[in-house]
Amino acid sequence: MSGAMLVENELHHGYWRKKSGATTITYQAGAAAAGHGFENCIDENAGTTFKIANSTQVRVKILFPSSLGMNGFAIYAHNLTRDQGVAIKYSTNTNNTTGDFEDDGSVYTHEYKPTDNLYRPFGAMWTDNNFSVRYLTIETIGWTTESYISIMSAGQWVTSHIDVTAPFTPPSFAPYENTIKRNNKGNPLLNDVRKVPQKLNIKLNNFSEDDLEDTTDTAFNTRINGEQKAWPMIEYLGYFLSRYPFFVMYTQGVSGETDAQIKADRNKIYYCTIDKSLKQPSYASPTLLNWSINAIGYIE
Amino acid sequence: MSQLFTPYHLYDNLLLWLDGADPNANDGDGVPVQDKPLYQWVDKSQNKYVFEQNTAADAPTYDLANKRLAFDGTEHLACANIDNFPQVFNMYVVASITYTASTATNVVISCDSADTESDWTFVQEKDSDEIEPKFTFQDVNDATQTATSSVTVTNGAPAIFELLGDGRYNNSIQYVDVNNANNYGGAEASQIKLDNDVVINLMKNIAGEETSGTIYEVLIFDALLSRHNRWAIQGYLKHKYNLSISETSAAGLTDVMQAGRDNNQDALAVHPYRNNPPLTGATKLVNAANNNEEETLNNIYQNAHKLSPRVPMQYVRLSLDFCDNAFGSNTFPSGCTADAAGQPCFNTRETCQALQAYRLDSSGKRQYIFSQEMGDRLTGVEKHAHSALISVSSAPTEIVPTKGISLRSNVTIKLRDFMSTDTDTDDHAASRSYITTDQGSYFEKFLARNPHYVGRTVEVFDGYVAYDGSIQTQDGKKKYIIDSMFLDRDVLTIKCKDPMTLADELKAKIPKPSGFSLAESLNTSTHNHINLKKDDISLVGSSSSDKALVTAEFGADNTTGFVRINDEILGYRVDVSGSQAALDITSRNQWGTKGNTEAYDVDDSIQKCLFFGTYTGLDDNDNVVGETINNVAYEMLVTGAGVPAAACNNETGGIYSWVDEKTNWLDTFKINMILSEPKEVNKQLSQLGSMVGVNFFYDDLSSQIVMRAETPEITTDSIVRVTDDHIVEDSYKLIKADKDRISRVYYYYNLRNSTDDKDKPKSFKNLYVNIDSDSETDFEYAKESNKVIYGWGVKDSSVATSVSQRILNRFKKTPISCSFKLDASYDQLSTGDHFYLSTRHITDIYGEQKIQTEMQVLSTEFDSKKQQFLIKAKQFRFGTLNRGRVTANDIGGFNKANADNTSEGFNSLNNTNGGLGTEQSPYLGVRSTGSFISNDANRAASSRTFISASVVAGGQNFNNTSTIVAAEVTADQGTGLTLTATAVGGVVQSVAVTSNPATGSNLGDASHLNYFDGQIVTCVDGVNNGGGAATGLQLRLNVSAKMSGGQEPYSIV
Repeated sequence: MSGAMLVENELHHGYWRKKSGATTITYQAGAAAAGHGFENCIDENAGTTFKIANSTQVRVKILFPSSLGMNGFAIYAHNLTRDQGVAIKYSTNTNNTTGDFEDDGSVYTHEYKPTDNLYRPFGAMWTDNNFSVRYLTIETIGWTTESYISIMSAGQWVTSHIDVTAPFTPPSFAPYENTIKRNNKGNPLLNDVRKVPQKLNIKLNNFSEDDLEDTTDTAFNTRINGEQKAWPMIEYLGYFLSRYPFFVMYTQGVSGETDAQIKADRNKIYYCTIDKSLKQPSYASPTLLNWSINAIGYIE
Repeated sequence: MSQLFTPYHLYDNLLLWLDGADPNANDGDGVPVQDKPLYQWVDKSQNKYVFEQNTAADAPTYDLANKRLAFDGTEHLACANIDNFPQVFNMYVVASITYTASTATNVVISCDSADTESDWTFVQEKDSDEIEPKFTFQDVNDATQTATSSVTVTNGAPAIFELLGDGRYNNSIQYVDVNNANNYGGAEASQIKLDNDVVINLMKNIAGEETSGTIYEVLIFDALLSRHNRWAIQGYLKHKYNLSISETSAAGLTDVMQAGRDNNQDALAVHPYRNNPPLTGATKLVNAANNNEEETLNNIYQNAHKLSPRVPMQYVRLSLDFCDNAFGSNTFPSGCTADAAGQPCFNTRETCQALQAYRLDSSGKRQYIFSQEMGDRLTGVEKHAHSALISVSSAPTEIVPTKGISLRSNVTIKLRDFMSTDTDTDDHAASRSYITTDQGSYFEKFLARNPHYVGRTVEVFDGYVAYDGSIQTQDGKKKYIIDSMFLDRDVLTIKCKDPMTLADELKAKIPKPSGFSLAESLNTSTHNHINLKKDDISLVGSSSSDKALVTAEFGADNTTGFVRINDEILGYRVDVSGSQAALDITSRNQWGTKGNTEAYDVDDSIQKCLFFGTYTGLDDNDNVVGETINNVAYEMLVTGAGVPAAACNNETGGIYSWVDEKTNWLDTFKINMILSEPKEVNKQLSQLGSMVGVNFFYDDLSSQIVMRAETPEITTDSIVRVTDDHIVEDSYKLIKADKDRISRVYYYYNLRNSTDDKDKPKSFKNLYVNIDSDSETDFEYAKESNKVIYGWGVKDSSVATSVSQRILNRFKKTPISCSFKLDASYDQLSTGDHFYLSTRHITDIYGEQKIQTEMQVLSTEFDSKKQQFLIKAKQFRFGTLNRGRVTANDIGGFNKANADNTSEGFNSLNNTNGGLGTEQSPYLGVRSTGSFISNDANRAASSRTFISASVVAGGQNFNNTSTIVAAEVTADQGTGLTLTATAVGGVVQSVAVTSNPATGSNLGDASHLNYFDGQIVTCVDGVNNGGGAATGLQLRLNVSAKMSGGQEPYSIV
């Protein structure tokens, strides 16, 4: 199936790693709780969180030093319910860095909320094309002071060549390990359940050698270790997958599905880290390669 | 495994918890030093509010000795960002106000609301000698109202003020009380207007006027607590701060534990927690008039451990040193003198750029939390809780019977390294010139910045996620000290030990080496002003610093004590008067040592000795003297080895009280000894414990070093039962170690020469041998099994005989040792506990499962992944050398009027049956077989009842107070048992035995003949109760003689 991977978190690399200079975060409305600033949810650490200080909803503006290509976002480790979410606004106006966002002529606004109350990752490809974004705002919707998100990623979902095949553990698989004990008379004692991450094998199939060197996906045009260029796919994915956590959606939806079905498909998202090390692609036939990526996936 | 009740057990309802004993909210790891200005008081509730004062002159000072904040009338603290103040609340304030004759309206706490219409104040100065629990507030009509009580407290005396505020209904009533005096008699029937966005001030009123006084603790709950919870909070506060329970003739109350009333407004005789602190799981009667309504305090983990399925939670918290200054800032509260233009430090000593200003005196700690990498996390609960915990493995504390000190516990924690933004470790991470995530991993940087971690605290939390998603771990907190840390292949390994390791060989010796020597020769007689050297440098009498060296080691001028020179112990008196910095040698050849025949030379070492009691164990008037083991151990561990005083409860009352254990069992076991050469503290304490029959071990759940006499439980009612219903399938292992059997005890005591070898028989004057000759015959075990004790701290023969007998009683038969696993939901056992084991693996000679075998837990180990305890236990038996018979109080020697030792119930008039013992010396004369035991009401309650009964099945149709006579009890053995049963809805809840011997009965009338311990009996009530015949009551009998005052246990015949 045609999947997508969000491997380069522009928010993280922009703010924490100063990829192209200083990215700034300002609060246009409301305030974050002490010790729970917005930067916590883009630090790639699930142990830190973004929370709001009081009932006033927060609007955060993230201003990049220069325009970046973006087409979506994903959120993991949160406690948002169906009534809570984020509104993401972005502009393609690459010059306006100080004006009132609302007055900008090219503003796109979308609200995103989880589709259930199970605290699973959610996100979206807000467009199938990439926009060049200089700054965006993220506004909380319906949050309480207890609400939090721990990991947020925004950037370009890579879709080129991401053909995912089985075995790819379906999202409905139980993420808990159950322990059952009995007493000395054979009667059951209380059970325990423990959340465990799932081991995933993400198989990307049917590459040609040229595909590995393909530089056409706009996501591949980025700055790595100070060099800005259109990187070959193998180098782009290899660099980010082996170093940073990433998001995977195993299907973007298929032709013939309704918009709602496509949206639902795109909401089945895994948060992943590489399991030990990233393997090389291997030949499945004299001309085609498969790439088997062993990952640890989290859906709750 | 009950634990002390604290507000953590009502944590979900806590809005605010300001704890005077823990003002930095770091579990007491970092508290300010005495009189330190306190610029912030951190809330321990989930809200983590911070009460601040950023002006030095306005900051209160910390009173470390009393665990409270002191305000001088020009100082206050405030928290401006409280935004979730509820519409109903229950507040406790422990505070005092000192009268200052100012015209201000002096209050302890005020609430300044954002809407300015919801202000309130609480606790107010009434006049020059009284403080009242006055609550001034605004009602929904914006009128000012007050609720106060006619009961006041004395000016300057700390009191427990309580407020129940309710703004929910138009008929709401606001109640106040103080010291539980008048059952919230102070009330105002007006609906309070409350705002959720408020500023709360401490020791400042709405007008900004400040109050002089002290605050110990402030608790605000977002609900009205139940009766028992209120009593428990009052008890928690009283015992925590040791508040007064004595009344004086002052104008207001000074006793903080007034008896109060129950839910039916009936007066209580005494406050339920007046004498002992509340424990989790405790049940109290809250309404005697209404079906004896009871209420139980939250049990551990707030019962989340009983959920099925349950979600376990484990995390660790490290507390490491962290400078209280802000880099480069010399503005209060910071005092850093480093150049602010430089690269900032990391607030650790290793990275400090102005060491003279480095300080840990306000808090000095930062806590780092790591939650499990698999399983639920603390995300959203803590600011920083990295999911890095791989495992916690432990070797638990293990009691070694007769050895004195347990095997120390150790814990190994493994943490996964990760990339980090440094935000929790580096206050300047955002302004660093480098990209933090690209510069080293978390633990690489952590270790480089924090090389001084040895001896610091690490806590391991085990618990569960409750039904509402809240994390319940506080009762599963175990505390250790860090021994080492190392990072290897991305895994940080932390090795931790229990605090008793501070007293191990390499860490502490007692007495501390003096470093003094003779500066002049000393002949064979006493000598004034013997000159001294310290570290080979002669002291000069005119030098004040040299005098200080002498007084620091030997005490102030004229202090007396003992020193050792070569093989002699000498008496000394400090002389630093005039031009002296010397010792007067006042006596020679002390503690059995032999003096010199030639003069001691210059440079011979002088070692100060640590001593307890006297060489003979008697004072000048031949009275028995000496120190009990609890005080000796406290001195050795706390003063000698630096073990935290908080880990040793050498006070009366509270959990694991050493004094209570001493009072019950060890009062007469006096230690008289002198330690004259530096040796390992733990080794010496272990020998001392062994010679008086005491175990010391560390209980990591309560963070307490436990002192436990090797004796039976006094209160057998509380002994829990472990059966095959609880034991995890196939986990039971039986060990029957013949080497545990003891047939004779050699007890050497009365050390001849205090510098002789303490493990050689020839060094002692006396030997007591206690032999169980039967077991050594060819018909039984056919061999001796010896236990040798060198009682070098014991002078008295009664200690030797008592300890020997206790050991023989317990080990004359080979005890059963076993291990088994229990599910985490059965959390009743902790190390040292006694329990009754009933399993199909232990049978009698006919193959029948034994009803019960009394065991003692030697160790407990919790496996978080498998959610089960591994218990190791050893049979705890006492032989039947002592047999007693229940009889009346007024026959023969039991009559208090004409007997010399009736308080303990020995029949002194019949020497062939009873002993001549007294409470102080219970082992005089012929003792043991056939002693009679009375039921005198004057005796301690714990030793009064000889048959008690617990309900197995409550039956049906019983009246509230049914009387069950002997004829209505069906038993396969025994006669005479009568009872009063208390029933609810016809089902018996509890029974009281009324047939225990009473005054006036005779020996021949003795009750309860032939019942046995653990026996199940069935009862009916012949009285027609209207609802049908009262039947089906089943009871388990507990038959024992519960003695106090160092008595051996007696079995009833």
